Amino acid sequence: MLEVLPLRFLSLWFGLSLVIAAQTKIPPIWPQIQGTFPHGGQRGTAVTIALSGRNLQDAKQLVFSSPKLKGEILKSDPYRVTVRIEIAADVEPGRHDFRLLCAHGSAIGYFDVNSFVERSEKEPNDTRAQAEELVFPALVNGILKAADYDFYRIEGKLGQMLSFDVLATRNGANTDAALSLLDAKGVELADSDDYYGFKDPHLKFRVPADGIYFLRVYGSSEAGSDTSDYRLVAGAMPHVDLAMPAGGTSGKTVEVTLHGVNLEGMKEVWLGDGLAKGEVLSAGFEKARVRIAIPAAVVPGEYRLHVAGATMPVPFVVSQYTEIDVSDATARNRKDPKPVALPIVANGILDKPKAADYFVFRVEKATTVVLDVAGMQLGYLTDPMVLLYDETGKRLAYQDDPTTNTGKEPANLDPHLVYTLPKAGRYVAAVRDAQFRGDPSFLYRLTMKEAKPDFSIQVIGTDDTFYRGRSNMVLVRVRRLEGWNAPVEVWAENLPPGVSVKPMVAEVKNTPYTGTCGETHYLDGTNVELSFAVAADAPLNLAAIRFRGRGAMGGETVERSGKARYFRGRIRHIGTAEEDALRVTIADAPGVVLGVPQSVNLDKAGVAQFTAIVTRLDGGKDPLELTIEAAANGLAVDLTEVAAASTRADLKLKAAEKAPGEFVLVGRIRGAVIGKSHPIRVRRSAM
Amino acid sequence: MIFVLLFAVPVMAAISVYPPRVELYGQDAKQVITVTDRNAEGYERDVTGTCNVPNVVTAKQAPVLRLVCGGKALNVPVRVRPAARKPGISFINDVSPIFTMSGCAGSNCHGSIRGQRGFKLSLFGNDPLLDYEAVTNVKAKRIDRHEAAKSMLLGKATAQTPHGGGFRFAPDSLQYRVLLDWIEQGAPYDSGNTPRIASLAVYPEERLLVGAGASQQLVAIAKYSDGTLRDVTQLAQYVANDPDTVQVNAKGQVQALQAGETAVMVRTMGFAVASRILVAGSVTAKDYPAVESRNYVDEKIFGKLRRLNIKPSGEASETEFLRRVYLDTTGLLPPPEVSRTYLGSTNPRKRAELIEQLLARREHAEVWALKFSELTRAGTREAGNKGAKIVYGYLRDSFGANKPYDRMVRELILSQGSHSFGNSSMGEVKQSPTSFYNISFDSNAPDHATNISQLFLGVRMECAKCHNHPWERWTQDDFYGFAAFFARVGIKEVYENDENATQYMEEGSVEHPKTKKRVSPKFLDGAAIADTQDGDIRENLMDWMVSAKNPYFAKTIVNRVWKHYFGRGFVEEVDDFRVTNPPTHPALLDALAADLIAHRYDLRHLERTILNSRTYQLSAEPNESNRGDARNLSHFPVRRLMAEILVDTMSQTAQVEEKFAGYPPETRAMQVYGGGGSYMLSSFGRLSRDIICERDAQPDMAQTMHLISGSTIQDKVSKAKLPWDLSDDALVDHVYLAALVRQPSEAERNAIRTRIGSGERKAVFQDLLWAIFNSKEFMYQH
Repeated sequence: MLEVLPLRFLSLWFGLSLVIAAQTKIPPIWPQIQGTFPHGGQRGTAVTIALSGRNLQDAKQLVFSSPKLKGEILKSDPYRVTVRIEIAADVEPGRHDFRLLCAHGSAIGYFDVNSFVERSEKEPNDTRAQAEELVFPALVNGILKAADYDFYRIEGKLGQMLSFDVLATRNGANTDAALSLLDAKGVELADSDDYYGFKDPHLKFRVPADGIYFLRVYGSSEAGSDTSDYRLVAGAMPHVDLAMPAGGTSGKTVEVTLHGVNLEGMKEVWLGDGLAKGEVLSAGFEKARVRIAIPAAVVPGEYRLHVAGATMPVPFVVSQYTEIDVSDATARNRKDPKPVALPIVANGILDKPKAADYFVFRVEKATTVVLDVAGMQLGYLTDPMVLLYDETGKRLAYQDDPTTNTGKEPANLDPHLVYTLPKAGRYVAAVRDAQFRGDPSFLYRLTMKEAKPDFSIQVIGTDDTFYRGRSNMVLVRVRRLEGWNAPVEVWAENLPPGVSVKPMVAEVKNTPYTGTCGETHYLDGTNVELSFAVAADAPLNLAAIRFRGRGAMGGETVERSGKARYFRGRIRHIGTAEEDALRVTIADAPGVVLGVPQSVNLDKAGVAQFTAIVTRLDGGKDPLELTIEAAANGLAVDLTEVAAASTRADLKLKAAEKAPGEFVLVGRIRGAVIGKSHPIRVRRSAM
Repeated sequence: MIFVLLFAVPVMAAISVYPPRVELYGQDAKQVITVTDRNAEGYERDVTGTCNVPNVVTAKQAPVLRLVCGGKALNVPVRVRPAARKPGISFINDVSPIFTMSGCAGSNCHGSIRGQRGFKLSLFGNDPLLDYEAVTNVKAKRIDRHEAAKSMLLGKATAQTPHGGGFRFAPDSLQYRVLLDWIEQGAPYDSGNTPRIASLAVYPEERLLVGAGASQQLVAIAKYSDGTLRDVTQLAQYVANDPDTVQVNAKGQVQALQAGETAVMVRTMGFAVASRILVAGSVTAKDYPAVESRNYVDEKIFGKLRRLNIKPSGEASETEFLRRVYLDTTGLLPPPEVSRTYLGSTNPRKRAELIEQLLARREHAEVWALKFSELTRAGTREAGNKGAKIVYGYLRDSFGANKPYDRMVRELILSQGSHSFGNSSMGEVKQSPTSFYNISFDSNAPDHATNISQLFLGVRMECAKCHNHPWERWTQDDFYGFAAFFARVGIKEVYENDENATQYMEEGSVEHPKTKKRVSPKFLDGAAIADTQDGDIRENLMDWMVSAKNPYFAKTIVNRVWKHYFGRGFVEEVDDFRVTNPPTHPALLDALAADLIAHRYDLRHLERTILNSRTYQLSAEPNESNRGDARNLSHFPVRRLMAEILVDTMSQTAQVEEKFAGYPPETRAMQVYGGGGSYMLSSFGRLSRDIICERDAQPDMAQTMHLISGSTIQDKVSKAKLPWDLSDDALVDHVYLAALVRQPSEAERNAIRTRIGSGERKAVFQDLLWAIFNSKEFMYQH
């Protein structure tokens, strides 16, 4: 689609090309959040949290995507930021995104909002004898260090149904937690390691007799660290596993059955951030029936369905199609498939091993249909497979994962089968778990419709920080849906002043990538890299950039907005961002980045030798002078001059005093500071 | 022609002839005959040499061979089926076997993977066409069709020309004549309708020889694809598995050397069978004691001992039994209070009742869960500790519920799903062993076939992956047919968290490496079946595996369970069942397997049968008669304790728990579900699970050093939480009862008293613990 590009894009691209050719790759100077504690707070309260990580000095601002959450920086140093967060009473429970803005960029973080009174664990609680009392409902914030065990004491009542949820990886925490429930003698009665797709554990436990029980929270295989936090939600409160149907039609009223435990007392249900209130029709121990009138104004998409006092919300999709519930096994018989008319969304549960649901539909002529399943993308452990048969039972097509999942790239793992039915007739669509598993939580949504070629746009693995005077890359993936086979032009909108970008075209060719063993895989889409040129005088601020895509096929032009999807480091599994726009910070890179150790050891003579890795971002024409700023008395280094082309400096630190101290390495050009290292601790050698 | 050797003529009780009838087909057909005498005590011996020269006489209906042995006459019907003309020499049936019987086609000679000096034969003649092409290769000039006697092949074999393999046969031998005739006939290959060997049998399958020098003629008979039988005794190669027990010559004559037991392998034309030869020092003594049999286990065991004139030891004492059965069933020692109660009880059924209690314990299930976790290599590769935990938990719960073994194996083999989640693909099974197929390193169908056949059928098929099996009947067709059952088993990543899953795919096939054709699933020894689009062909495989007619499945698990309790399987290695590696007690193995099947694969029934037998409850103390016996269970076989049991019993005795990295406190070694665990565990044989194999029970220096000063034992000794409030004598009693399940002897007690009198009390008891932990009495099962 290059022929339709405005001229201004081409001129910007020319300028940007020059920038790209010249620039040096920036070492990781932007802030990195490794730990958040506590990782959330109660609605209607204010909470002080600590963010730990690297490059956190000079934190300026903490900004939430939701206007109902406000952060105030209390103090910061290179490794830690303390923030006070005000949580409005009406903020939607669940995970919320925030950005921490520092001098050299920003970092994304996650904050969980819940409805329970919170407290933090108190060490030592490493044994049954040291166990902390749990009073229900409980929300405990804890840290799991390596080989750490947190014990909680429970006074159980016969017949009580207790649920235990750990929120950790779901919040982006570096915590692979596990749970065990022990009797008074320490015998394990139940355990859970990976329960949710994100590896967080969940336990439901029916108390067999009055008495003392212990809950043990620990890192799987004793993994843990100072920043491995968790949020334990425990008690005899309502816990909803799923809503059935898991979706409703925009502008229509839907009756939904909630499946879970302790639902008999539930009273209040609502959709999303106050989009609609539900009416509780009946509420039993394991099931509750609610009616929700979905306003026509609600945009089709995935939302959260909330139950007051429950552990956490469940996903609920608003669509534009008729929705049916087949969880009553009415579609379970292959010989007697459930008749449906397209388009339709079937909601079902593959509750038993080898369970499959069958739907028969009719087309009046040769028709291209799409069978699209949602299971994993909603957070359930269903691994759906879809199959298509003709009237005689002959299998025409099937699809499991649309692309190979390697963990190296975000993959669409729910089927999206597009097939052209050759003639008028009756056809059968089937959905089952790919491994023939079954479980009462294996929910799926099967959309069956005539294909209408379309595409989606996702912003993936993006850098949150744009540096002034440089080009900054953003990866956008175009996924062709329902038989789309035309190029798609991708561009960005809502650019802040001083930022420009050239549109790119995603051709009809899946992007290859290399797997762990050097093998070639293909995405089920096409990646394009948008290179943003940021002027040296662009204002420093936080921008919300929107992405758009346009393509034409069959004489029809389609235009779509992009969604941001996080996929970076350990937070890659978080999925879709709270906002569609990509939040980007415009920041300055220093003239020089000095890579130094976190600490140095002095020998008996009070001398320490260390190396600084020098990355010049200022063009590097003049020699660099290295000195120190000492926070403690008696520390000194000989003034060192580093040649313009050199990338390392060997330094000798001398300490006049025995006391440990701290210093910062400073880089100057002709006396002017162009960069500083993080603080370096000085230790005395044990020798 | 009929060969019979003559010797002196003793008086005989009951004689029989093998074969009972002789069938000779064509000119020059031969048959070796053996005559067996069975005396009043049931001993059999080869008396062929004592018979007179046979005469073939014409009876009314048919000719008979009349033998007179020890004064008794025997008539052997003879049927001669004359050929229309003298048949030509068959390369397949006459020439090729010569290479095997002469040792040319062995793995250390021309049968090796690269052959020798450019001459490559198939291993043990399993591929006659390959052999033919090698022999007749024009460039190699191994045969001379114009001057046959000058053929290099004959010159080398007779060492008339230099030959690295040396002399193989003489110019006047049968082999030479066959080869020469064949070359003179133009060295033809067989026509397509030449009958092929279909099976091979040896007589006797088992024979007890009494005394050194006793002998037995073996008779090898091949059955051909056209239904005919042929004596191949003189075409076969004979090898004794234990050449110290018997020697066997090229004619198949076995001679006893010393008391023992061995198999003699008989091999020809790619087939192999074995004759099991037992050698007893003497016949059963007249004063052989009457030994009570409590069940059929004892009948079979003691029956054999009687034949071998080996007297079993007496019954184990109550302390011996209590310690033994506790350790074997739970991996733990009986707590002192339990020991006191048991030893003080006069209940005549207390052993049986204790066995019942122990078999029902969770710890018992954990012992088997760990063993099978190791066998199934739980936690290896991508499954990690999470996968291992699920597999171990599944196994523990299954053994704990005494799930029928056939059902458990079905669940293992049909398993699929994500490895860290374990959501089941089977009804009523909440958590299934989803990472089971990590048993195979490359996760491909041939790997699965190799491992599953070895693990559950006791059949090692990996040789047949590349060529027909040298010691068994398995061909490449058999191997890839079996592999085809796993053609659709795949591994994929599921969920966006690097999670792996085993999945039965919608499509998949196995290709034969030679024919390059798609192979249909085929049972071992059975027919091929068709894979279907919607079915899971592994279910058909499971139906075949667990059927009562399956000759491998039940015996394999019986053998494993037997090994657990006696330290040695009927068949060793436990997963190497083959005709050339026969069991020590075939009838008992058959009976136990049949009993297991009759009880619907109830493993606890099998264990109960074994544990309640007198055989299991024999003393470990040998007597003069059985001191040298290591195979026949004349006394309880002493063996070192499993690594986990050693660690757990030390922890139990000292009341100091061991902490295993990655596992919660209070985890016992037997509950460490993943590989590794600790240095001591691996030193004492815990497997890394890199491959499917059994533990090495051999002692080594690392174990000794660890026991002397290793951190595990030091920790237990220095931190021991003994009931220090007890009096010295009571504390000594407690330590002995807790660690050795007995009271100290007076000598032991006095020695300790003396030490206490001259040293610090706590240190003395720490020394006592150290000494006990280092004693064989503690470290060994007895």
